[in-house]
Amino acid sequence: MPAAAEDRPGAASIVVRTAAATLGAYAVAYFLTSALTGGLFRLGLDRADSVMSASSIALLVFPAVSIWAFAERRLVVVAAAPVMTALILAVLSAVLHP
Amino acid sequence: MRKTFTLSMTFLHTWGGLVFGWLLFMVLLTGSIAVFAGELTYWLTPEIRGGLRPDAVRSMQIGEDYLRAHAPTSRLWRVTLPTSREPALKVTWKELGEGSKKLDPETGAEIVRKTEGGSFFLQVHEDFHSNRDKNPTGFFLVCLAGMAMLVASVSGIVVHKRIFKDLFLFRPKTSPHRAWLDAHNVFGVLALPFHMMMAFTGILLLYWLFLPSAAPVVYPGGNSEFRREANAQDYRQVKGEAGDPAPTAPLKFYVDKAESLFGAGRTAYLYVRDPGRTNAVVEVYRERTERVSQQVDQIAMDRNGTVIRSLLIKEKTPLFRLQSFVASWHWIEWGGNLARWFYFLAGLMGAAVTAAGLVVFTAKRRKGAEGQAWFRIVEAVNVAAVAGACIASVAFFWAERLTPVEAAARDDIPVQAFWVVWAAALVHAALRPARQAWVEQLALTALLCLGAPFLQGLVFRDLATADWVRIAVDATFIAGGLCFALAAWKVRTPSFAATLPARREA
Amino acid sequence: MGVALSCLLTFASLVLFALAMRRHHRQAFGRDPAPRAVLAYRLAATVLIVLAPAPWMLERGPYMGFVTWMFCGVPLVGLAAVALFTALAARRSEVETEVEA
Repeated sequence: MPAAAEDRPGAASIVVRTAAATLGAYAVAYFLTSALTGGLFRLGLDRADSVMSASSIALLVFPAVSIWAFAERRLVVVAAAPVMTALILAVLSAVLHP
Repeated sequence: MRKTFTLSMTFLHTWGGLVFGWLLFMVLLTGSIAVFAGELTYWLTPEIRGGLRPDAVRSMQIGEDYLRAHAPTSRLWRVTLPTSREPALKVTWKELGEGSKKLDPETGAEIVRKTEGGSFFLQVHEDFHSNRDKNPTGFFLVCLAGMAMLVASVSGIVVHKRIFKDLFLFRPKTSPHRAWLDAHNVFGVLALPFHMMMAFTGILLLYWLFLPSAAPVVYPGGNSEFRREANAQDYRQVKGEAGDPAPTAPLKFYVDKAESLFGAGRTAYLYVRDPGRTNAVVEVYRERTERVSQQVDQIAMDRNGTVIRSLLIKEKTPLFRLQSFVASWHWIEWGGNLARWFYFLAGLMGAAVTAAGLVVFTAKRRKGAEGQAWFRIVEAVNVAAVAGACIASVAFFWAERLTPVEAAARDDIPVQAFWVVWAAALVHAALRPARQAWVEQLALTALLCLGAPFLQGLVFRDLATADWVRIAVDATFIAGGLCFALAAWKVRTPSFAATLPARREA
Repeated sequence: MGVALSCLLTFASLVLFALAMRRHHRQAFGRDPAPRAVLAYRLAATVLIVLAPAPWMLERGPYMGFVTWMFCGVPLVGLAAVALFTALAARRSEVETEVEA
């Protein structure tokens, strides 16, 4: 049963999930702030305000990604999604760079 | 699907809570103590006379006279005015001679004792007392622990959702394991809004350090330029060539000018860059004891008193004020003694949730895992992370009181005592059976707490001068000591034997 | 003064919320609450919890007052309510044991 499997997850599952919950979440938050800062600044926000708002939003996204990393059952998705998201956000932040 | 979600949240709450709980207990304990950082520094410096009501103008003059006499060639001065929490005048000078002194705010006499005082706990709370500009590891660990606290709060709601039906469920007598679980739940639910707020605002205070990727997008100079513009703060670090000698007016002239902009008698501290030169700049900073604001009003003036830069909160954008308002919930300078006591107690509730959670972890697994190596390690680290952190914190105060004033590198000795005692607690916990280790370390904490006010017989002097701040610190030590004694007694009694392992021979 | 009044109101409200729960009503009175009583408890508790922060906010200013009441006042007063019901439960079980004996 999946219940038993989830109760005693394998070593690979733990490593991948822990990495996604800390490193992956940080990478997503890191590039999200830079992309959002560029976007908000282009929308006409004060530059100090865009830095601050983007950071505050990313600080809420970080724990959300951490929780998701343990809630999502498919390990491949847990491993790939944060990396892909961070990459897309990195590209986006380069595009939005004023 | 829903069942799987609950299970994965249970896994996350259990194991994430265990690993980060070890860090979090230290962060929460030192954070609670640091609420009274100013008062504790005052308590730790018996040389500061009690019952002073220093006059700001006179203190400023004394500080200025001292700097003119002792650091005339330094390129940066700082004068910090005394407060009711810590009635000592502080002067600091840097570049071409460097030093820092506390002065009696009425006589100008030097206070020879060098101490980190209560701010030590602030630094452990922020970055485990490491220099975060040189090595941000400690700072990031604390930030991650804060994020883990948010994650643990959310997953905890999922795991313990039944408690929202029975808000007051507390059954100390049913079974010992349930009692620990109930304590964990009761403390956790009651103070949940406070804990989630503190975890989030703790990082919001220094968001540009945790996520340094934002500022470079819109500021070519990165974080330092962002800080200069947004908070006008790092300007005192900017140095050009020193100008030619030229007289600066008495500091009172600049303070009066600044206070005409942000309120009379509201100055907290000031910096002078290149004093006595043509390019001299005086920066005056406002206090925030009656304002819920992270950022402080500040006015920078040139030698003639012309305002060259100013940051007034009321002139900033609404978003800036919102961040400043929310972040200052964490950094509690407002609200006076009442708010500080509430924060202290609610913070200790957070430490109690963590401690009870760590005990539940071992109590639930004792039957299956007793005797296994990993379980023994978890038990030992639990003892050191909770009881050991308490001993180390009180040991810091003992070391402060017992280190002679004239000792070399005096302010480092209590800091080292703190880490050495913590390490010793871990060794002790590894050598003794867990239950004895709990009892012995809690009992030692109780003894140290009860003894601290009596070191050097100072408690009687404070009673004689009716110095209520110091008497309150003494009383808190004694109350804390009694609580630890009670905890040691409870853990010792047989009803708790089931939650903690029996003696080796049993 | 305002703070003390707020604490009292909060305490009263939390106690009423607890009494609306079956388990805690039994701890206090030894019997289940009537359905209409539950409704009355909840209503009174809600009114009190809405009123509770007002004196604190009047005394300490709206921002400081609300932040300290919400984040510190409620949990600390809540601890007192927990202590009350723990004591009630302990007394109740003693009484019941005596009756059985």
